[in-house]
Amino acid sequence: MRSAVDILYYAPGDGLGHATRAAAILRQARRLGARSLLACITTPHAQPLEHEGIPCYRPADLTPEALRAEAAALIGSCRPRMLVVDTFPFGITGELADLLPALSCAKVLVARRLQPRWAAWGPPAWASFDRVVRAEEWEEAGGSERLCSPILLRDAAELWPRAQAKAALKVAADEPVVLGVSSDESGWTTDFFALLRKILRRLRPAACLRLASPHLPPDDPLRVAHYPLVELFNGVDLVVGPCGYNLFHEARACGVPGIFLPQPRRYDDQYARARGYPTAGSPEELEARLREMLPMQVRREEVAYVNGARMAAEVIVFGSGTVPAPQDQRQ
Amino acid sequence: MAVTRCQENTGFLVLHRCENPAEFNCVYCGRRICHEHGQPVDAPAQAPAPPPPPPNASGVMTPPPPPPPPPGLTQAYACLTCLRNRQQQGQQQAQRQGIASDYDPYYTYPYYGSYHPYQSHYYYDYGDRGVFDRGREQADTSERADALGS
Repeated sequence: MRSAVDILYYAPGDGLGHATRAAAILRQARRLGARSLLACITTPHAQPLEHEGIPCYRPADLTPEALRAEAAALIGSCRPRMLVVDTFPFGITGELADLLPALSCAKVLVARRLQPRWAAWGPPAWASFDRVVRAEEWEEAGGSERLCSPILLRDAAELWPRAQAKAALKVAADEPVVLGVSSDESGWTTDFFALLRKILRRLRPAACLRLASPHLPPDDPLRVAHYPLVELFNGVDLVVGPCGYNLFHEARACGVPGIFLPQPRRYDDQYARARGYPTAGSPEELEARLREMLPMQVRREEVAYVNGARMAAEVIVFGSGTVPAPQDQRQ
Repeated sequence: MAVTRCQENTGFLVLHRCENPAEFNCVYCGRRICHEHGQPVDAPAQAPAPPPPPPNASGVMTPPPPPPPPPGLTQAYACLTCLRNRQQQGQQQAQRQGIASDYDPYYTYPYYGSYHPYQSHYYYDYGDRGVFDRGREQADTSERADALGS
């Protein structure tokens, strides 16, 4: 039976990171020649997929029973050549547990850090997949599976040059920028940005504050509404925000210093991810960190990183057989 | 010799001229001010001394004014009005740079007695602390039956 979809990326979960990884990997898969792509997400943050022009489907009912039925119907109608599952090996409510063994298509898991109490979803569950791509390093993950660089929406060569990024941030070329970032819920984001403004008002730094969040009102003078944000990281000199997958890895890859405010999550372990990096656990601590780290001048380092999205896309596309691997093309 | 009165206005409901004797000149506006309405500030850069005046009609040279005292020997003072104006100007400049979005007199105006940059605990309110005191229970809901964790 012919497949209706070459690659189905199944990315349940409530954060922006799930949709971002789906968009980043499928974007690279398309560059490698894959054509028929579909993402299935449960997060309301569908912007990365929409911006990249990747078809996406979001089930309306997210209860376990409804999700199980939706997943079965979706996979049955798509008949994908390759099923890629993000983070949760059996789905976020176990909706894939019964489906996976019966699937004949190739299966790849893009694994991300989970809290230790979800250890059963770690390496023990990975045997259900043909390949596992670890999207970040963490202690419980072991070392046998392929570890790829952080999965980012843009390659290093695609980032905007510093002067252009500064202009997009609406600052002068020699003005340092502190960027507050949050895709967390609206109320928390409001409080966090209010605190950031308050501290910087007190410190009166030479740096300019800019804020990026889907929850900011469009008329906020500090708002940065650029997609994808990482494109502007050449013009950013310090980031402050929760320690989710995107912000942490984007900042680290681009060499932007960060102050992280790890947040409690149901599955993700932001506290463990932030270990060893500057964090703040109180307003006073954040103020002290900012006092230490406020940039006095713009960064000059050149950004160079390998995008894990490309590495993951190669595993997925060449593994799906829709595009011959380079060594096959040479024959 | 008549005592000069302070030239600052005062009063909560009805403004009137301050009754205190003036002790200093404001370095910014030159008005005479009393100890209550003046605050020590860093002295602005001294203007160069003016050239000596030309001889008058009888050819007698008037003595030049005494040179300004060397910096550091005298303390400069500024009146509250000038200090407030300068703070507002600084705030507007900060707003243009994007680091101040609202006016917070309890922070910026030193005479409310709230300016302690290095003892900041009371500067933060419940909303500020809520950024860090988010209940773990919000995330600790493994029994919750939906697909909205992350």
